[in-house]
This record gives sequence, C-alpha cells and structure tokens, in this order.
Amino acid sequence: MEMILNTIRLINNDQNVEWNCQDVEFMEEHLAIGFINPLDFKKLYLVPSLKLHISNNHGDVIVNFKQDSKIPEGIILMPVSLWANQVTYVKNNNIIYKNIKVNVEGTRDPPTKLNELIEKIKSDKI
Amino acid sequence: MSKKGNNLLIKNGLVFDPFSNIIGEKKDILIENGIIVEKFTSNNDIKEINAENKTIIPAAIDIHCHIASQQMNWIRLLGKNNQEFNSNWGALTSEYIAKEYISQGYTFITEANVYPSLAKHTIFNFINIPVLDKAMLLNLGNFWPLEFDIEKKKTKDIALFISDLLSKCKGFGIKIYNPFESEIWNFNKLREDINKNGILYNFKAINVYKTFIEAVEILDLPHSAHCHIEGYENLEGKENLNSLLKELDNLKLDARTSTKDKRNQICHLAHANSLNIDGNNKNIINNLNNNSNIDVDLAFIGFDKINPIITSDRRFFSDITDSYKKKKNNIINSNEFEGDSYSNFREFKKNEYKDCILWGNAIDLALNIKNKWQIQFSLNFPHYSHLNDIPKIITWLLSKDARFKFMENMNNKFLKNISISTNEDVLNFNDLIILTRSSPAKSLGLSKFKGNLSNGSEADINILNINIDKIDTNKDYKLIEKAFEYIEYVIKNGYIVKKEDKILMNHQGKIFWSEGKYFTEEEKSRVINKKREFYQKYYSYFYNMLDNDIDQKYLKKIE
Amino acid sequence: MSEQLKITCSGCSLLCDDIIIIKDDKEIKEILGACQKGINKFNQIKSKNRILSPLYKDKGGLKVLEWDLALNKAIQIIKNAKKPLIYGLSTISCESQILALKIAKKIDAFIDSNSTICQGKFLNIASEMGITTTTLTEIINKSDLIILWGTNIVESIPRLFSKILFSRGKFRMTGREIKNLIIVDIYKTASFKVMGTRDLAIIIRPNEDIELIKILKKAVKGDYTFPNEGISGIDKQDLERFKTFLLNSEHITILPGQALLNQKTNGDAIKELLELVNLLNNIKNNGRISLLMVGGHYNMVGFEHMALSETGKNQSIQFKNGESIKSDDNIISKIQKEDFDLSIIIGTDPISHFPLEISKILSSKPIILIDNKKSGTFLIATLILPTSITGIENKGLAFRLDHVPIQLKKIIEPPSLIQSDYELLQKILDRLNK
Ligand code: SF4
Repeated sequence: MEMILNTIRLINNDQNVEWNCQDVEFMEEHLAIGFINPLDFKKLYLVPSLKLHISNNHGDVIVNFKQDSKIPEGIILMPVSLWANQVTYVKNNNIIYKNIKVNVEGTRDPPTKLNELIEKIKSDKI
Repeated sequence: MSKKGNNLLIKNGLVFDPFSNIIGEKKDILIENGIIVEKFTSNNDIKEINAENKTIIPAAIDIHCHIASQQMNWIRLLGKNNQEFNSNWGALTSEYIAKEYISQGYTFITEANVYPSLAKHTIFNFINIPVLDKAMLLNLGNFWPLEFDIEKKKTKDIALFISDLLSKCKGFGIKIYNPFESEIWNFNKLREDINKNGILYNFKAINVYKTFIEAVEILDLPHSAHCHIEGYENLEGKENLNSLLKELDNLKLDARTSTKDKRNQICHLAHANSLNIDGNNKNIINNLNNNSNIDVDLAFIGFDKINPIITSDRRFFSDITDSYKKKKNNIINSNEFEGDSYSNFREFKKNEYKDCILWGNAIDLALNIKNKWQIQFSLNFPHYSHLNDIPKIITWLLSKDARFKFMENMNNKFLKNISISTNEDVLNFNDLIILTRSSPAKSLGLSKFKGNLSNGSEADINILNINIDKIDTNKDYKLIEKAFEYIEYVIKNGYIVKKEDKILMNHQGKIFWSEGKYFTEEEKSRVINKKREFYQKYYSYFYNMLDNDIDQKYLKKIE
Repeated sequence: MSEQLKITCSGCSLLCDDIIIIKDDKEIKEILGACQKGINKFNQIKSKNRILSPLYKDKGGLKVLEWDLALNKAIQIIKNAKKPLIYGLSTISCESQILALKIAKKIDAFIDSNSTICQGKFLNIASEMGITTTTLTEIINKSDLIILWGTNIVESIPRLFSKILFSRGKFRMTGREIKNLIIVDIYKTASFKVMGTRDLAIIIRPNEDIELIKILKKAVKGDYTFPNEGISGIDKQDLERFKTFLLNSEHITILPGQALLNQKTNGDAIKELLELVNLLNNIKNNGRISLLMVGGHYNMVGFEHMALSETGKNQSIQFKNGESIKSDDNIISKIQKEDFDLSIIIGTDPISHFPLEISKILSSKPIILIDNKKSGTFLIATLILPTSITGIENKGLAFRLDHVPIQLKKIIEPPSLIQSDYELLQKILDRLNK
C-alpha cells in the first residue's frame, strides 16, 4: 500500500541515545520501527506478529511497528536512523527526510539487522 | 624579523609627537622590550632602522569602530554572495580586518557597540584578530536590569553594577545608545521626544545620559561615557543632540584635571558629523570651543560603492531602509533585553545631498573646533568608510587643492549652500597626528601607553617614507597620500609588524579592560545580589554566566 | 569529599545553565534538573560504547594504536589526500571549530557542518532575504504568542517550553496565562500536550505548509475571506483565529522546524514565511514578530559564527591554495559527485543520518573519525581518534540556539590518555605545519 513516510525525532527512539548506551538488540528494537494509524493497520491486514516491509526506488527495509491513533491515515513515521535512511534520498543537494512516498506491506520476515545495514553500506553494489 | 627582546633604534627620523610637543624634530627613538626608552640598558643586539628623511609618528588609534560583534557576522552573511563586498572588503574576515588596520598604521581599535550578553562573542573574535590591541564598549542604553536604579537615581549603585559588568565581560567602557528606546517593541512607533517620560519606564530618556555620565565619573573609568545620539543622519538627531548639550550644561561636575593618563572630557559624542544633517554645525562647534568637557569623533565619509550598515538606531535604520524601498533584506535582531541591532548595506554617492553633508560636516568640525585634542578621527568603520580611504581622506584635511578637486562633481545644492564648500582652511601635519593618534589615546585615557612617543610608552610607531618638512602639504598632497598608502614600517610593542609590503600576523595583541575605581566586596555584593535576583527572574541565564573565562595572557587591565 | 556545582548542560542547543551536580574528585554522583536528553549526555561519560583508545582498521579488523602512531597515521592519510572533506563540527567548542577551519585551510579541504542539512538552510535564505530574529530573554519577557511550526520541541529541546512558555516575564507577569501557543504540524505530537483551551492546534496535510503561509499572507493584508471548506485540512474558524492571533498579539515568536526546511518546494516555504514575518512587521501597529531557529546540536550555531568571521561564509567552504573560494557545493553534492578522496568526520554520525546512496559513497573512501562514542560511522571508519566530552571533561565556548554565547566548563577529568577535540586538533595542525 502506498503511504507517506516522515522521519522524526523522538526522545525515546533517539539514535544518539541508542548508540550511546544500549546493546545492538535494544537499538534495533527502538530504531527499526514505524508508527502508523490503527486504520492503516487494518487496511494493511496486519496482525501484531507481522513486521512492515517499507520500500521505494531508493531502497527497502523491514521494521517493527506501533499503532498510534494520533498519526493521520496514510502516514508512517520513523525515527531518523540507519533504518529510515534506506528510503530517504537526495534532491537538489538536500536530503529529503519528510513526505517520502513509500510502499508498505506486512511481512513475516524479521526486522533488518544493524549489521545487514552496515554490510549494505560497505558492499559495492549500488 | 620580530624576535622577542629585539631592541630597536630608529635613527635620525623627523619625529612628530604632539603629546610631548615635539613637532617635526630630528630625533632618535630607542625601543627596549617593547617600550620607548631614553637609554638602552645593554648595547647588545640592537637593530637599527635608518630613518633619515623619513617621518616618525605614533601608531594610529581607532576610537570607534564595529569589527568584532555578532552584528559583523550578520553583515558577512548578507554579503556572502555579494561580489562587490567580497572583492572590495575581503568579506571582512578577521584576518582581513587585522591586515587592513595594520596597513593603515593602526595598532589599537575600540569596538563601540557590544551587548553584555554577546560580550563573549566579541572577546572570542578579539582573540582571533591578530596583532591589534583591542577594547570594547558595552552598550547599556537599553539595559533593563538598570531600569529601577535609573528611575530612583541610584547613581552609585549603577556605578557599582557597571564596574562589575565590565569586570565580568572584560569591557573597557560604556556606550549609551538610544536610551530605553527598545520599549518600542510594544507599539511599533518611533518615539517623538527623548525629553518625555517613557511609556514602559518611568523617567526621561535624556536623563539616562546624565546618570551614566555621573556613574562613569564615580568609577573614574579611563574613557568617558561614549554617547550615541538617537536619530543620526536625521533632523530628529539634531534636536536630540541639542537636548543632550543642554543637559550637559546643567550637569555640575568638577572640571577634570588632565594628566598624562587622564582624559579631559566627561562625554564623548560618537560620529559627530552625522548629527547635524542640515549642515549647520554651530551647536557643536560653539559648545566645544567653550567647554572642554566634551569631545567628539568624526567619522569621515569615503564614498565607497558599498558600506556595511552596523547600527542599533531604529530611527536611522527605518529612514535608510525607507529610502531603499525595494531592499528588504535587513537582518534585525533583538537581543536579550539589551537592545536591537540592524544590519544591511548602503552606498554613499557624491551626488547625494545628504551624503555630501555627512562628508562636509566631518571636515567642517575638524577645521573649526579649535582644540584639536577634542576631536578624534574615525570612520565608524566599516559603516562610513573603508580603511583604505584614509590616505585620500588625509589629503582633504591637509590640502585645500586636494579637497576642492575632490569636490568638483559633488552635489550642486551642497556646493551652493554649505559653507565648508568654500572654506580654504586646512589642518597642519601635527594637527593630523593629534586627530588620528594622540587625541584618541587621550580620550580613551590611554596616553600613558599609546598615541605618543615619550619614554615609557608602548612602542607603537609608524615610519612614513616622506620628509614632511621638505614638502608643501597643500601642493604635494599626492606624495602624502602615497606615504600613507604605503606606510613603510608599522611597529607594535617593539615588533615590526609591517615592513613595506610584508605584514607579519604572528603577534598577539591584548584586550584592554577596566573596572574603574575599586569598591569593597561588601559594597559590591549589596548591589550585585539584587542584580542576580533580577537575572534569575527575568533572564534566560544566570548573572554569573556573563563571566568571561579567558586566559590572562590576552588581557591588560587599565587601572 | 563531594561538592555541589551549578553547571551548563550541553545535551542540546538550549545549553541550560541551571543544572546542579554533586561530584567527588573522580566522578559525578548525581545530576539534578537536567531533562532526559541531558541525562543521556552525562551518561556518555561511562557509556560502554565510549571509545577509549585510537583505533585503526586494516585487513585484520580494528587495531588499537598508540597515540603517537595514530597521529602519524592521521597525518599520513591526510597528506595522501588531494580532496579531503571535513564534516560535522556541531558538537565541539568554538575554539575547536576555529582549529578545524585552520586545518581545512592548511589542507585545502571542503568543510561543512551539520547545519547544511538542517537549520543552516534558514541562514542561507536569510542571507538573500534578511531575517528578524530574537533571543530567549526577549521571548521570556515580551512574547505573548509562540508558534511552533513543524517542530516538536518537547522531544528535541525538552526544556525550551519551560523557559519560554511556562515563565513569567517583566512585561508578561501572568506567565502562561498570557502566553498563547499555536502549533502547526501534521499530527498531534507530544508538544501538543501542553496546549490549553485558548491555544490553537493546527493539523495540516503533509507538505501543504506553504499554502497555509500564502493564505495567511493574503489574509493579514485584509480584504480576503478564507474559503468555507478551509484549506489544507484546516477549518475556516481555525484559520480566522490564526489570523486574529497574528494581527493582535504584541510580540510573536515563530519557531520553524525541519518540516518547513524539508518541503519539496526547496526552500520556498521558508521564503514565504520570511515574507509573512516582514509583512506583519510592516503592517502591524503594535508589537513585533520574529523567528527563533531551533537547531538541535549544542554548538551548531557556533560553527556558523566561526566560519563567518574566519571566511565570510557560514558553511560549505571550499579552500584552495589556503583561500576560501566560491563554491556551490554542499557536503551532500560533494559526496554525490564523488568529489573527495578522504573524509574527516568530527563529532557526528553521518552514516546514521545520510540516505543509503550517500553513505555508500562516503564509505568507499577513507574516513578519519574524531568522536567520543561508537556510532554508525564508527563501524565503517578507517581511523578513529577518541576525544573527551566538551562541557563535562573539557571547557569551551558554545552558542545557544538563539546565538547567545555560553561558556561550557570542565567538571571532571577525562579518561586517561583521552584529550579534548581542541588538544587533538591542535596536535594535528602542528604536525601538518611541521
Ligand atoms: S533541554 Fe537541552 S540543555 Fe537543557 S537539560 Fe535538556 S538536554 Fe540539557
């Protein structure tokens, strides 16, 4: 399903904090995450055990999700992080962090691991 | 070239040292450990400069400029993509400023508009401007922490507080700027009259000048209160000036006794040529000719293509932006309950009546104020002139030929109406040295160190490749211009910082500061504790945050 | 023996100076008054992810180096580079920033700060259009309307509200009672939780802020009625109230956030907002309206000022033959064009902030990382030089978000053999000068 992704800063999902003090697992839990409206939850036929597969022309990533009725329908929010970086992009020398068109589906695959993301960066394939 | 402990002997130069009444005498200057001495203590390692046929003068001193403040950065930001600004003003980087000042023979500058909250920024900039000695004046005109004391006329308390502020911020003196005019934030209308009570405060703006002047005298600070008149370049400014002059007449303070390290004046008027925009300077001339209590700096106009406006004067700024209707790209900042700042660019034109008046006023005042020790040369740099205009400006003062030639294509109305356009008087070379060197030092209370060549003074010296005695300053003005364009040597604390084309930037100047008369801790804490409370209640930071954590090696305290 | 000190927090750009700590000779025992973010900053001291020795990556993985060797290695890598980048600089002191600029000048680098992809865009537009800004004490004492536009400061600058909204001022004696709040955002962020009945919550459709600003510009000029159906998801009544607030408040402060910076319109929303501010300042017959930029890193503003006074530019500075030259690049375009052969990253973590495509290019060339803790960038850096934490383990000057300079103090000793950014950069500069 097509959605709009916005990256945001949240005090409890702050990559700076995570890098600072936490274990990798904890970091993955707090940063590999998307927030969506319960109505979208229904539209995506999600069940709590599923994960979200988010993708666009620039890349893709699998993350956990949480429902939050404050979030408008059709919007997915993610903390600024390595995970969100998989779908952000550059336009006119600016990094686009907001209003990013993405495709979101439920998946049974586990959330993308930190080392997978780092390997992706290091690998030569673009 | 500039090793420590290098002793210098400048031989056979023609010396002008107005302070010691030496007017063009052939004389040796001896320098040991950065100080001018009568005799060397040892004869080893003396470097000699042969100054035969050259003229020796003290290094120049700027009593009023704006080069190290946050506002300067707003100018740089506005000028970032401005070709004219970048090519003619070198983007005014710290290094550029230092180089230009040294090239023009300066070793000391006074940053004339610093809000206490931003003092750290200025000090930080100072440290990164090499070679020059510097001082800053704290702008307290709109300083709300003082409102209550001004209302209650607690002048001694004000003096105590100023002293503490100066020692925290490492300021040198104070500037009074459009007193409490920033109350305007509430009603967006320029005030009519500084003789009336304010709306958000309960006293007359004009009283603030008086109170501060008295406070500075209690502290006996090296420099007097440095006053900016609200509404410069505007007729309103003339009225405000007249109000202040009247106020000063009523101020009964004992006449100051002038000594080597003491100033004469109790009030310094900033860029006085901008105050009578009708071109009639009688008020200032008469007042100064009858009264040694006031002195003025004259900010000469160089008619540059582009000049940065650095001001905190709302009336002036709204006038000037009105006249540039299309230009809206002002940077305006209101700062921490201490006042506003306005930044943009302007252009001075020889066919603009008003610009010519500003130009003419400076010359008029320079010629007609009798006691040249009451006048200081400035540029209100960078607002009124570029430093590299100085050689040209000097010729207008020394040579009527140069001046009349320059006036040829000036505004017609100006040439017809204004008396200076027919005045044939000129200054002599000694007067020029007073204006640019000795008098600023005196007004700043620094004659003990600067602006003269007597024994014990700091060895801040210029050597000009010209023998003033052998030329006709009127006719040979081109030669004078050249001599000042290429000052052969600039010496700072005994170090040669400029020799011909070569400028050495590895010397670090000092930051001059003063807290004035000493008060006991008890006296101080009575006042300061109240101020602490004020800060705690109304400020975004605690009073102690004003403390400047700066290495002593950068500082020089003036008692 | 333990002592109590009042210190300044460098957890974010607010630089709160009212934090109380209790410490003994070696360590901080207790921290009082800091927010969660501030506490996290102090947690860095003993973080298990702290870097405690220089590290070098070769084929066998990360190797611990002696300092002298590490510095030599750094110099060698730098000297081999023809087109180095220096990036970050928002979390070091001004003194260190000046040194970084000097190094950039020495090695003809391209130097840029985090501000380029953040609040710096505001200043760039202000350099063309001008700007009216203000500072915190002004807001405390004068503001009766605060507008958050696309910024969620409760989570980014946690104590800003308590300074500017929940405070009494000399001309605002009743405090919060008289200080109104408007928040514009695409959803009800945590910041909305402070709202009272008189405040105005504006939920706007994503990416339509510019429409709202344009409409407000028309409306405040008069002679304009809002469409009955409202615009961009905002009711007509709310639009009316917005306009009334703008016209009748005495002292308005707008805090613009990333949401405005990141409009697809590429800066146009900012231009419109600056125009709205100009317009209101001209037509209103009481009060004034100004902007307060809310960058997050504690010394992001500092770099702009240091760069301006040293080079005349606030960011994205290309040095050539020791002079700063004209360049239209920023850090992103330099990387995208692969116009670099080394990056020196100071106190930041671009790998966690840059899109994948950019990170990939960045990681394809050597990286020297100067920082105090592990990060995404740490995982791919070639040479890692650890430093102490400014504001805790060493002192320095920083600029608060409103451009007011604040002194940071040294409170405790850094871990052994760990020097400050300043000392480290000075050593690098000295060795380069040799
Ligand atoms: S708001 Fe910022 S500066 Fe203040 S305590 Fe929190 S993190 Fe520290």
